[in-house]
Amino acid sequence: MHRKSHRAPRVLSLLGVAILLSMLLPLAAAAAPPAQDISPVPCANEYTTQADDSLSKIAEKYLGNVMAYQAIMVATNRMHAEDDSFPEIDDADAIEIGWKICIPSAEDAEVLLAPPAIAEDEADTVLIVAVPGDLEGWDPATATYFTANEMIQTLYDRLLEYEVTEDDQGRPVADTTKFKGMLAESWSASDDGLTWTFNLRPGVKFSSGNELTAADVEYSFDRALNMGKGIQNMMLGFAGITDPAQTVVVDDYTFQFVLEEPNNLLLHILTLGPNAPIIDSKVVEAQVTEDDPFAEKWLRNHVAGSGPYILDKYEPGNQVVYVANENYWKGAPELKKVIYKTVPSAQDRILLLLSGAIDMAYDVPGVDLTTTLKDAPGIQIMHFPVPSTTVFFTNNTVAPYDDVTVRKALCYAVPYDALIDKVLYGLGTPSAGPVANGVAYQKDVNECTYDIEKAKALLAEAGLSDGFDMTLTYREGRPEEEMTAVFLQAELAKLNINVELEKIQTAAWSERRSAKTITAGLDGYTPYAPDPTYVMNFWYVTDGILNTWVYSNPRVDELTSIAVVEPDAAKIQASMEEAQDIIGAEQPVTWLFNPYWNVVMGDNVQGYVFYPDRATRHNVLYKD
Amino acid sequence: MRLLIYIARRLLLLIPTLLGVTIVCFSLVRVLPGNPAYFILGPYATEEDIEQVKTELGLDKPLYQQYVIYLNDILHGDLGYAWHTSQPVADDLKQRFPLSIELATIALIITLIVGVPLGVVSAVKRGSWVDNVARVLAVTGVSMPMFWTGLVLIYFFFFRLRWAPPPMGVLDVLMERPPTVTGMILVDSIIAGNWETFGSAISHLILPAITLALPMIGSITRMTRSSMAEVLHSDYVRTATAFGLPRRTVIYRDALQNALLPVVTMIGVLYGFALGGTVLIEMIFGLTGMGSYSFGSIMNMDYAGVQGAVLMVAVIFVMINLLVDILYAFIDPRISYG
Repeated sequence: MHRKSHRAPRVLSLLGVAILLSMLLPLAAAAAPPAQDISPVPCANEYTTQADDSLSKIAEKYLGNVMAYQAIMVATNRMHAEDDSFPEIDDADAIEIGWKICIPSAEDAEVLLAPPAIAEDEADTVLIVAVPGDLEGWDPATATYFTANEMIQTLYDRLLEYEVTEDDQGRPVADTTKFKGMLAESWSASDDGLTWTFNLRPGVKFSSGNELTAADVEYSFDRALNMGKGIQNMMLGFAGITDPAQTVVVDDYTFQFVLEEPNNLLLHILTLGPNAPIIDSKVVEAQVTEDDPFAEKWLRNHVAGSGPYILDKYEPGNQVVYVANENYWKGAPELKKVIYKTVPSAQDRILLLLSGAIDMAYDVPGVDLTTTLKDAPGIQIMHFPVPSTTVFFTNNTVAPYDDVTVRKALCYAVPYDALIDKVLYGLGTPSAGPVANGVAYQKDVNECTYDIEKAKALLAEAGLSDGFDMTLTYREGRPEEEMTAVFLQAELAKLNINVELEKIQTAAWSERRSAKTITAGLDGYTPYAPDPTYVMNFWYVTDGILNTWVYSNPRVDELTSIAVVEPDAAKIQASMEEAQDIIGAEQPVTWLFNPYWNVVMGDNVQGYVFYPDRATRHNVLYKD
Repeated sequence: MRLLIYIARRLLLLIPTLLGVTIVCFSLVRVLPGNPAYFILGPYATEEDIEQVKTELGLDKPLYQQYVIYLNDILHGDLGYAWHTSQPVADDLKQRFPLSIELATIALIITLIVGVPLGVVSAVKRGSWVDNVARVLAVTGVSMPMFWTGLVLIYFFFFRLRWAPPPMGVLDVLMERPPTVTGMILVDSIIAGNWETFGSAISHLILPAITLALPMIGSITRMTRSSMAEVLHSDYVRTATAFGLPRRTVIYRDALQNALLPVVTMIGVLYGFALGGTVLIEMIFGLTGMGSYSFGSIMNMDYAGVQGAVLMVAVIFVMINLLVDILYAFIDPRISYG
């Protein structure tokens, strides 16, 4: 018996030895980092070029990846150094018939394509950004989440962009009243405002090496239109583009939109980072399958763009790495590498920022911005007013909220200053109405102040001085909304309104919002395009997709459709001000506040420019 | 021979066990409120879009049909497609699982190295200062929530002392992974002979492993102590002592070996605990293993992802426990496998 039982400790002692060994291993290793290898790699195939060949075509055929043309180029050049029968390739676009090309094996190609590791002393050309969560796929036609939007903005170009100006504090910000060409060198509209012609910048190359032409522009928009779904399709609809017949290739460098009626949103929509990118039609079409006619699966985690950065690595849940596009038409970006690290814990993001291990952090709670991080050495915090509006809404068709007097009573019961102070930690401004400051033709129509006596009187007028029960719904993982809800619960109790708080998961929220079954809740919205018709179309017209409060006024619908097509600025102003007046009087929701957009970075990161889509333009950043 | 039959029978029993697991996790994710189609399409989706995606996902079919399809896919080795990472679940698991296994294994090793000797010494020298310290450690270790210990460790060892690397990822930010062979960063580093990545990975894993080990050390110390105390009071130990054998021999040769039997059983249970604990640990230390994957899948209503992750953990857990039982056959002859 004793003999047999010797084995238990033996197993453990074996484990112990293994652990000790593994601990000793690093000591035994004094290996120097491997030197850059430039010896030839064996050719898996040799190929003799023929007429009409291109390196990327060969790369696609043998290695299944057009980008691998670079690997073929390097492999052939290395062979050339040892064996003269291989040519030296200087320019991937200038190959001659009859050349002997060395095609490495797929594994070797991967090694050749990998960018050289950046040394420690080059850390000042690397930007490390900590984000809270995963990216959920970045197909430009369908992506709606912020980090994916930011990524699309950085990896793709658009036809137009906004000019840059300075705000009242002298910081560079987008001037949303002035457009400039991006991929389009110039553009013009016909006199009737129906035909918009864009003259493309010649010589712009996608990261695949393909030249960007009008065919790619047409493909990009047609793809979204033909998909018949997704955010890009919807945005194009706002701009009056609903049919692929409206996108016209005139010649290689000329592209036209043909509208049915004039549209004031068109140019704004075309500047939107996430929603108007031009994709590489050749690369995407190569990924099309029978089941997937738009290569949606492929574009969700691949990129076919011409932007200032190229996707280098995507490790789900861990990191996304971009490298600078050295051939970018605006010039190579200063920062050579941008790394998005997933750091789920907000406390970790703050410690990382304070320690200098990262350069930028997203989703930092307001309490930390105003305490721990405020005045911390090495940290800079910028607050930008954005047209974001947080609202307390009720379903306008459900009793008692179908009575405007009740909605007004709720509106007067909100302690606005306390919310900005205690929920936002002062990082926001009072709301002026449906259209926030910073949007064109904005008008202050929010009559409400914190006046509990007036609220009581209004409720009495509606015959509800005994109050009623309310279920206030908000989303999990949104501490600001939770705090707001608690404040509202306390205030509404003074009106004998018994508020029950209901916290639900985001998925459940989306489903109920879509089904319009939330009777009272907290929500927020941010128009990417600073135009009032954009706000109306999403949140206040009868069939607005995010009109969660089920507000409907035919006159507002009418005024919105007038303003979208009206060429005369004075008339646009008149109709949009009238719409805002109506909404202000009918109080479909209570506008709580406009939170700032807070940018938190190491103080050595310079050059930040604020855009209303809130996405960081990495190519203008540099480290000092 | 009997052992082989036993193993074969246990393996057969795996089938209903795992079938049960598939049913439970299949129905659990569907009980959660909300429909993934809304999540996939984001806030701007129209009703038609939603319907289209529901059809694509097969969510328009009745539940039992969905389950049959799911089971059929699993049997064909297809775990589905995780929309929140935009790749097949099988690929996700391949990339994420090894890290959690490494983390749980290191935590278990730390637990055994620290917990077992501590338990033995406390039992032998009951009432001594070692016993008291061990008791305090065990109680605090078990009762402190892991997210708190984790944050405290990060604060002191990373932020204050700068001994530990930044809690994001398993390697230094600008370090390249060694070529993937097993997927386990430590093993792959050894295979590639890359001691730089090995050192970096160890330094990134040590704090999370300690955080995960602390509650386990508590339970294994108490377990070892009581089991050892029981054996020390048994007849054969008294007999051996009466025969005049040296105390050292009696304790470490005769008593310890029998006292460790229940500890071996505990290993299986603790491994399960460690794998479950990775959910919190990975969130706190910014690691991307199974834990953060399961969490991400749940938060994003990614049915395929949740199902794949749960199934994988269940398989590993069941296998480890099978292994422990078989190990038992070798070390304890009293157990028969009839």
